[in-house]
Amino acid sequence: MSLVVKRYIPLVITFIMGIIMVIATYFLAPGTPERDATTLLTGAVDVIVATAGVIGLIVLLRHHGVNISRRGKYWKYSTITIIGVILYLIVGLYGVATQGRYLMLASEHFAWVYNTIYTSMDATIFSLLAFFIASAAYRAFRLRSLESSILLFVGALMLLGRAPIGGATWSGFPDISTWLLNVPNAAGNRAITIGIAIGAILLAIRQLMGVERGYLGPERS
Amino acid sequence: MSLSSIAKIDRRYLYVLLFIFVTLPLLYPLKLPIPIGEHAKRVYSKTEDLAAGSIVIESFDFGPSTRPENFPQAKAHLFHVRERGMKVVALAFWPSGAPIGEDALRQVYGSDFPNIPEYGTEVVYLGYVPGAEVGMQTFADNTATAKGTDHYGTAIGSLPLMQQCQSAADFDLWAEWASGTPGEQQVIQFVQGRHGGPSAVPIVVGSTAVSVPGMMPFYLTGQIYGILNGLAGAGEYEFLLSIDYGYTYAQGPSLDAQSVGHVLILLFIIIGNIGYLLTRSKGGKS
Repeated sequence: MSLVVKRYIPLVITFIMGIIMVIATYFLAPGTPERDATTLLTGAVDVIVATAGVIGLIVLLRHHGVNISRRGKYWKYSTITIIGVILYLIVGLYGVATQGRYLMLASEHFAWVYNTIYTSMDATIFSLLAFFIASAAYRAFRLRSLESSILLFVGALMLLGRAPIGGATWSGFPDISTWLLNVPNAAGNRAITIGIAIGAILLAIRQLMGVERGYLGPERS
Repeated sequence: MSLSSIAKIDRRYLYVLLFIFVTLPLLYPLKLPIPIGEHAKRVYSKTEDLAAGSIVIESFDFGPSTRPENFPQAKAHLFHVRERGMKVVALAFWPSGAPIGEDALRQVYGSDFPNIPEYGTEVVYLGYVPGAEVGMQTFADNTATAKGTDHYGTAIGSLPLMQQCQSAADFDLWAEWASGTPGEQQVIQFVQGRHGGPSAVPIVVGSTAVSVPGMMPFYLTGQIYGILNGLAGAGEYEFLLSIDYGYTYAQGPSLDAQSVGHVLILLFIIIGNIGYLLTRSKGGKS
């Protein structure tokens, strides 16, 4: 594939689309025909995402298929992954075919798999966090230095302030935890948020100008 | 076992203790009183202040993993909105949130949902709206462009409520039940920020407790009007609704379990530090 197709055309498309969205966001009022036209353009993202989903499915099946055929690391998990993907796909398509539903998510077969398998597994994995956090708190919250001591005391105050037992013990705990959230936490988070936003703006400008090309993949393959 | 050796206790003992101490209050609730914080009060007052007939967007942007925290928040708010005679457009920008949203609507509007008389005029369920933050932006600009049909395949144009709800200019409140991205920050950025700011599109958020610290800058500027903070926030809202509307305050046992869990973790921390300090005083390596 020539350099023009691999590099220059994607860069030109990125620049044009980026400029259109910048103009739409900052210069076009909502409700105007020009703004509505750009809304149709953002709707095209669904098409791109759907296409990317199909490509993702192919890449996933290929990656795990190769791993199974080579008996690579954790190949048994690769088998489970492939079975899971194919089964869920079949269930979804079966729901659409038999119920005439517009969307897979509304199909009762799809919902059954979701409610009985996915929900249980997802909730279980997340619930395990409670145990890991308890163990991590026990090991990490140590009076090693001034900073870690402050972290420990603030963590303890938040633990008491955000559960009813704190308020039942002393009415000041909820107020302290609210103050911690509203003042020192907000100050730190605000700094982080503003920093991230400035970084994102710079990255966007670099991408529009074609300086940042990481999203196109390696320069030479 | 000496105190200093406690610092090296096998973590599996902690797991067993935590399991027991969290399970007991679920079986035998302590019935601890719940303090009502300002964050939850603001969600409640904002919803109370809206007139009957206002259009409220209920966005279910979370998955099963955070359902214990997000679902009771969303369900209680949905109940409140229905009791106040408001109109609801519910949707999900997470695919995994779509079945949960439908479940909440069924629990509040009846198990026959969507086959209820008020469907289409008082309440609509759009289900999953694809595109994440771009989907949010598209929905706010033009609801029909973001989703041509509701969750059940009915054309949006045939639903009277959706004719009244064509863009963000028609939203009176956006209730965001979130536990990640896209979530409240994307609603601020792509809906509120592009359509007149907090006064035009007020946002209330229900979130997992772990996400709330990151929202505080937006709360303090008024971009987020109120927050239900994790399970405690759900309990606070249920309690407020129980006073005014007779809603069931169901989170008591869960919050008792959370309280006991927190106290146990505090005890772990104290014991761990005693062990650590004793080890250090003896010149040992912790």
